[in-house]
Amino acid sequence: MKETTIPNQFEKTFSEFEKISSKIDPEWVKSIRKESLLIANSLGLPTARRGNEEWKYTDIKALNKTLFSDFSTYNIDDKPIEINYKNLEDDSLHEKIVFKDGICISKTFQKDSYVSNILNDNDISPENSNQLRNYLAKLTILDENFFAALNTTFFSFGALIYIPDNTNITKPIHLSIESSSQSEGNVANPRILVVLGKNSNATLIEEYLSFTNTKYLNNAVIEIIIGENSNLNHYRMQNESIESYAITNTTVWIESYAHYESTVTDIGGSLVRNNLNVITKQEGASAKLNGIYIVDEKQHIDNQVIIDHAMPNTNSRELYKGILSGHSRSVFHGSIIVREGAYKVDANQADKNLLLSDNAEADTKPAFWVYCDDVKCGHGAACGKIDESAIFYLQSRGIPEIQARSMLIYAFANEIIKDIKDEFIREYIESFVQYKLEKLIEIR
Amino acid sequence: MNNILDIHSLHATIGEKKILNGIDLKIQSGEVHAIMGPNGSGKSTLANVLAGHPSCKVIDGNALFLGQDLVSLEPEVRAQLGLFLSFQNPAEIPGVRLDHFMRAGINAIRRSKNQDDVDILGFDRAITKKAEVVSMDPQLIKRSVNEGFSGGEKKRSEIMQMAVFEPTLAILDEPDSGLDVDALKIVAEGINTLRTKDNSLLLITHYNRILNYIEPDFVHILINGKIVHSGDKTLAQEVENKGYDWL
Ligand SMILES: Nc1ncnc2c1ncn2[C@@H]1O[C@H](COP(=O)(O)OP(=O)(O)O)[C@@H](O)[C@H]1O
Ligand SMILES: [Mg+2]
Repeated sequence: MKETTIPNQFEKTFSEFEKISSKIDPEWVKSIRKESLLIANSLGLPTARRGNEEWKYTDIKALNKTLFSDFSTYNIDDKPIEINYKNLEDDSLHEKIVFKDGICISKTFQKDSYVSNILNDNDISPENSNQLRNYLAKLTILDENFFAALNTTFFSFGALIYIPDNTNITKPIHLSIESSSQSEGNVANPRILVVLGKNSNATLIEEYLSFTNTKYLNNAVIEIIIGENSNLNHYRMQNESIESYAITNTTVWIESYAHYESTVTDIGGSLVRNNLNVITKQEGASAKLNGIYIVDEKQHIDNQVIIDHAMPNTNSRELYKGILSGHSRSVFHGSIIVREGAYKVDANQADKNLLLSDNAEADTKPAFWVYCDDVKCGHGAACGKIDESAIFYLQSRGIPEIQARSMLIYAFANEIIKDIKDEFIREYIESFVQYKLEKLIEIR
Repeated sequence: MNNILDIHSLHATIGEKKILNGIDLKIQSGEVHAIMGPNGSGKSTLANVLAGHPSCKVIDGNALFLGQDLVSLEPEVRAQLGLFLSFQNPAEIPGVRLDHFMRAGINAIRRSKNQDDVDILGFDRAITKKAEVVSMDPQLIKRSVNEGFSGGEKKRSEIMQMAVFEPTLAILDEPDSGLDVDALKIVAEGINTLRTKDNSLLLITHYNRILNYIEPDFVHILINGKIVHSGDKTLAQEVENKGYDWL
């Protein structure tokens, strides 16, 4: 079943959009947009759930009613605001970049900045320009992905983070992705491309914040290439408005002996969908994917994580943990692919959920596609409630019941938080998680 | 001598089942009372009722601790007043370190008295000393509470906690079960070092052997949720020889 009203709307929106974008876009971007528009139109919103494994547990119909009335796109007059990093109070960061309603509005101008504004940076170096051309929209597979195609059609500016070979950045680069649109039904399409050269190390914070209570869709696409022998630590903190739809499509290529670590913390949004596709492109690549989601009321969170072990001697560790209260719902769909010839792959995934209410529901759907014999694949899933005997034990030592509960819930999340090596980020995520947990425990 | 605990005609149920059928017991400061009885006679239930376990319901009677009826108090308030339960089977708490667990308890108790939180470093040093009381491996203090602990390590941990919390009344529910002779001796002697003229012990046990190390002032026999016989320490020996059937 295809939606017909929506695509028409896109055509109209796109022709408006094109009046501006055609003045900015290089030819190659123009053709990417055209192709993506075709795909988005032909796919339509994935509202059919029957026979659609990918969207089986997540009902997207509600998007249809309110959304797509207002697209955040560029205004020809938009000039990025320059942020002099030195003026920022927070010297724990290397640099910071701000998105507003999907549009990259800021750029740092410190000497060793690694961020440029996609399509809106007059000073973009030929090297950066090459990276853009080589990789933008090359990682994400658009063919069956309406939301990624939509983003690729309409993204306006964006951030390119290019870290050359042999570069070691100790402090994090912070992407602050902010929603503030007052118009109901706004659609924002943040676009991020990260290219890490060989033998380099970097830390990326991707934070989603909201300054509005309207219903909006934040539809981000993130593409990441990690060069040979490099390490990327990637932290996502998502605290979108409780009315919003928050969708991310992240694709990561890991080259030989490179390592990718991702820690995602989701606490906001009414409907959250994270697609994370990680591909070990070369031998020796490894990934560690951690996630915490804390939801209540009618929040719905759906994590689709695919690890594609395309090459031998690659390994992956995945641990997602959910804390669910109220009538909330979580879906974890973890797929592990081991390609033919990808011997000595070591892959493990687990999803554990703590249910704080009888009305909350967590679904875990593991899937293995293994085309090679000499591999180790493991999987674990758990779903449980708070251990009341542990609560009594804590109380018997003088600890009030509410504090006892929050200690146990926090301990559950802490299995992931304690693993965060960067102290500044660990403390930040700790407070982020505490903030949400306090709300959950208050409501109880 | 002060009245520490005064239990009067205490009746309690778990679910639909009547477990305690009228308990009377008086404990004064400095005293050690042993409770013995066959399996399932209600020993742990009595301990749980006194500590405030939510699944035990008191349907009649009362239990005054330092003059205050425990029955209506939250478990944490009982602990804050100076009651301590060493569990027969303490729960595991994954992700909560034993030292943090104890510090949270001590701080909660201090806050209830409007005292400041403990100094973290000072507390760490103090608990290392307390671990020595029962020769507990100091590494265990940094691990998750009871997770992967052996039966003996759990018992040592409970008594170490007693040393940390310094309760007015410690209820020890089978601190001897699962311990070999050497460990039993260490734990029992540890308990003895914690005794003062101001605190009291309610020692629940299945066997006489721990009473060779911790000498009770009174021994009570609990059968079917009732104290059927009380006496001095010779009663324990008698039970050891003759079993419970003669009572
Ligand atoms: N949670 C429970 N639900 C139902 N019955 C229980 C529960 N806990 C204990 N009992 C029952 O209460 C009685 C006394 O148990 P307990 O106090 O543990 O005895 P003891 O410690 O003397 O061995 C037993 O018959 C036991 O089966
Ligand atoms: Mg018992």
